[in-house]
Amino acid sequence: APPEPLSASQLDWQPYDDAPRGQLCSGRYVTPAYRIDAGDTPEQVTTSADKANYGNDGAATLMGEVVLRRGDAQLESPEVSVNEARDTATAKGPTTYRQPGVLLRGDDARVSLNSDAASVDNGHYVFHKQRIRGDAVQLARLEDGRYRLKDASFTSCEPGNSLWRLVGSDITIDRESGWGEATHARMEMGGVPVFYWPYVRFPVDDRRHTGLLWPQIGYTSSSGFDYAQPIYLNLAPNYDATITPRYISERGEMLEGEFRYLLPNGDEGSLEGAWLADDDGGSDPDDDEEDLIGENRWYINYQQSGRVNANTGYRLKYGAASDGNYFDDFGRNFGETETDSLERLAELNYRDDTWNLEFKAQGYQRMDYPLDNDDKPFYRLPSLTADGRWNQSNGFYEEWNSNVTYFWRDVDETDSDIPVDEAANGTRLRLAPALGWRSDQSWSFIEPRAQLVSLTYDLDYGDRETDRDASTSATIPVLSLDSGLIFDRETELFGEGYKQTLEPRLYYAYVPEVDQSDFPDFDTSEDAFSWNQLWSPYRFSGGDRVGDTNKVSYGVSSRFINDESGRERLKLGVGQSSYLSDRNIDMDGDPDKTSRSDFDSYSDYYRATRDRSPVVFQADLVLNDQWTATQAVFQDFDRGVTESAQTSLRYRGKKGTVLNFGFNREIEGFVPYDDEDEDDVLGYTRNEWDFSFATPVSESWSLLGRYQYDSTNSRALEKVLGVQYNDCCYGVQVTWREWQDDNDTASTVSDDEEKNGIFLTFEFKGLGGVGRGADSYLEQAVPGYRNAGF
Amino acid sequence: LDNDANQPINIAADSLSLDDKAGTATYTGRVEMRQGSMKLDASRVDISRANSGEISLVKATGKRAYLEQKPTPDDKLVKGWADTILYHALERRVELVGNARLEKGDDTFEGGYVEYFLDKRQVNANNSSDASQKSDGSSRVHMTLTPRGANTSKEN
Amino acid sequence: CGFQLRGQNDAPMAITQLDVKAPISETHSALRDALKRADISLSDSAPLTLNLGKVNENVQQVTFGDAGSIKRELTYNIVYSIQRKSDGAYLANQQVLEASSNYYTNDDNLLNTDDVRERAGRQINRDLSRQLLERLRVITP
Repeated sequence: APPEPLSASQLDWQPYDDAPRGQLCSGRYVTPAYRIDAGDTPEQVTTSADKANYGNDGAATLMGEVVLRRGDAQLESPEVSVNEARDTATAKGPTTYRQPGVLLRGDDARVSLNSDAASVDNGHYVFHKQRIRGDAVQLARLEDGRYRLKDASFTSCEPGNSLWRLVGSDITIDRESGWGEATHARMEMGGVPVFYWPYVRFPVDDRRHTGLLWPQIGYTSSSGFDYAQPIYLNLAPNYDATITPRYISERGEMLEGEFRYLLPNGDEGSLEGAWLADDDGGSDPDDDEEDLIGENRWYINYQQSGRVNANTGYRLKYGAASDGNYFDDFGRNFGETETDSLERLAELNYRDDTWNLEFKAQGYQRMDYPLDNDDKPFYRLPSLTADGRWNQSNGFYEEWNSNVTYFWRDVDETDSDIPVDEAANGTRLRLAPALGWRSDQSWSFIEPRAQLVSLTYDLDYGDRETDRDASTSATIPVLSLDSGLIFDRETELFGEGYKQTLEPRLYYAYVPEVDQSDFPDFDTSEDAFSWNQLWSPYRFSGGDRVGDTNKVSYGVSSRFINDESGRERLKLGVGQSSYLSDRNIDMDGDPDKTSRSDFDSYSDYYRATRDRSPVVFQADLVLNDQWTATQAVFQDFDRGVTESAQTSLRYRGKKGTVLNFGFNREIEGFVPYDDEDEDDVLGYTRNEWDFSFATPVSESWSLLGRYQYDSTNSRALEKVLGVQYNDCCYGVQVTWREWQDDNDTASTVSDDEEKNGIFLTFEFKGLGGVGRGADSYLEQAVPGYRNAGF
Repeated sequence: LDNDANQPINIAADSLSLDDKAGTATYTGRVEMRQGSMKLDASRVDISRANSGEISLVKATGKRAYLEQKPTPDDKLVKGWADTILYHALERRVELVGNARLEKGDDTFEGGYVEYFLDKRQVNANNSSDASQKSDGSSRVHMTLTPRGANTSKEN
Repeated sequence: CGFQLRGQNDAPMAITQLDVKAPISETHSALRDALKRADISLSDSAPLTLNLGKVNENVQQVTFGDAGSIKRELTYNIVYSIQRKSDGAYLANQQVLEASSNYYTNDDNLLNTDDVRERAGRQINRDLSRQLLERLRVITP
């Protein structure tokens, strides 16, 4: 039977009279001083007793409050006898055995006199530094310093608090490596067994952050009750694994696994995956999810990266899932449900001061279900890139940018849903050498630049009837002239000395109109207007289009730079472009597209024919170490409309308090859309408010939350509330989330569904391990929030 | 040594006074007594004889009287200090009383009272001759042992 | 109103050479180019060492929802310190350079994401370079 409980003071527990700040526990373990001095040599044994006798054969018996000390070990007992061979001291109970930071109190004990081994029967133990205690039928300290406890218990709760404890037939604790192991272990909460492991390994100090990951319990409207019990197997210093049996009431049992490894040369990688046999279908499968019922649902995600040498690195990735809805249904934390694609990648990259060479084979599995034929992404099989730049001392520079890529995807190209510019597979050769001259003075800069973009295609339209040429090419010059002056003056702001700069900037860009109507669309989209676009000749990202441009951009910015630190306290900017001619090349690449009827929407027509860009106002303020604010406004004075606006206010308190406020406006049609998927066209003007915070409320409680509101459709987009309670030996985090799922359509809100979920994560302190629970999502949802661990 | 008992005893001291009737002799002042390998130094030694004329008790007192004896040719010297040393010659038993300390081999004993049997080489020590002084720490018995096999001089 | 062309009356940059210790990445190459363009020679024997930490990247989603064009904010954060070799004194210790830039991604065009993110990165590198030069301008070795 387990030994009788001991009082707190017998376990070296000293309650605080007033707990210092930040202390969650009501007291601490304090090791008392040794009762007698150690011997001159580590081997010498010193004793103190009321009586001692000592036969010629060397055996000795000590009686009456005996204290025996050998090096750092001390034994106290009413009676101790030393055997003839002088290698063991046997003590009658009740005994107290101490080593630095360890206390064993029990009945009879045996202490080796020529090694550090000792054992105590039927007693209690305390590890002061790790704040761990427990009892055992047999407590043994092995020669190598590990402690083996038979039929033992283990908890980090304060004496008298039996909220949780781990009970095992054989618990071994190795303070050196910071690991504990237990066989036939069961977790008891308030005396009630909660979980059983045949074998479990857990960290006993906080050196290793991920430890025995504790149960994640959740409930979501679509999947019902969801219980996952991760088991962390630290197999070796450089690789470990997490096996997670998981039960979902509306779907069935599944097994998840994650394996991480670190290669000797420093490359690292991981393989994760999950498997569920015949899915029960979830609580409210809508029609197209019907055929997933009874299917096996799985996913796998492998990645490895590292360096071949100082200049050369590589990355390998392969992700696949049984179907596009996998993460919506099984994403364990809210972060995972946002996974929208699984990447496949083999990339080798070389970089030195001049060259950047890259080989890349890349593709994606898109997480949409059902996935329409025309939504399937292209693969780059492969893409070869060679970019070089040479800076001459006289300010001239030359650039060589080149890429050849074979684009492929497995679709029925005759499907009429597929627009003809995405129907072909084929090879694209893109050469874009450039020549420029830049002179930077403290008071000015000027940079004329000329680039020649040559695009050559070799396409295969398969069985698709089209009058487009299979091989087509174009060469398009891109000319630009950037110039600016820099004035400054000494000024004062908030009582400190600042240099305020005034930087007028003038920019001209000319790109002629070149027919690209036969060009495909492999990886290209038209950019939304931005401050950076004012000073850039390009209107497209990706490689398949070079937009015609004939514009002058003008603007002025002003920066306040602290005299001592050189840090920018405030940055203001205003700028605009005047278009000297219309932009006729859009994704269709047809120069004759000029009248209103040629365009699908008025906003596309207006974007191509407007005389002036919106005026951009920008301000970035770093008020102090805690507060930062940014504001951007794109104002079209001709139509008297704010096309886009973004506000952000951030507070980062010292005590971990985080506050974010954001507003984001985007007028319908502000972001150009490719014509093939109407679902993805924003069907309204976006006015979104975003407020999030995380703050400790008291020593034990901390709160976090987020509220996103869509004032155009006057609805709450996302509500998150997280409460975290921290106690001396456990922590619990409850996160509740309610959000709008837009069902992969941006054009309308009518098909949006409201979903909610609650998430519970336990943390038993002293066993390490911060659950993978909702954290990664919360760190995304509340910028600046870092779970400082329980 | 074993044959110490039948070795002649010689004693040097500053002064000697005899009491024939009681059969006792009292040496005082830097007394040094020798018998074979046994040595006894003290500031005062009282010797009393049994009716057979043999020495029965040697009582040595001093600012810690000192006793030394070689138990066997290859053993280390046994040394003892105490305020009063009582040598019961007939029983071959020594009592160290008050502030006692005994060094035997690599072990040492300290305490209020240590009893040592010369031939049996048995040692008993307790905190004081009477139990009353038990609580005061200073009169506790302190014994230091050196586990065999751990020290440099290997017995076997 | 007191504005003059910069550099007319105040002393030129005091730092003329730097020993730059940095990992290899596009950002660190951009920072090196900016230093060279500001006539700072990079040599191992320079009296001051500029230690550039690795680039911490963070992407934050700005617009709600996962359909259509999603606006994301990319932020680069680098910790640097400047040390005088002669006595090991830190002229700047654990200082932070940080800059952000927005970009749009769209599920319909996954291959477009790399290029859009790289261009945002190059814009951030230009901002980080300017910030670094402003910090160096106030340091007297």
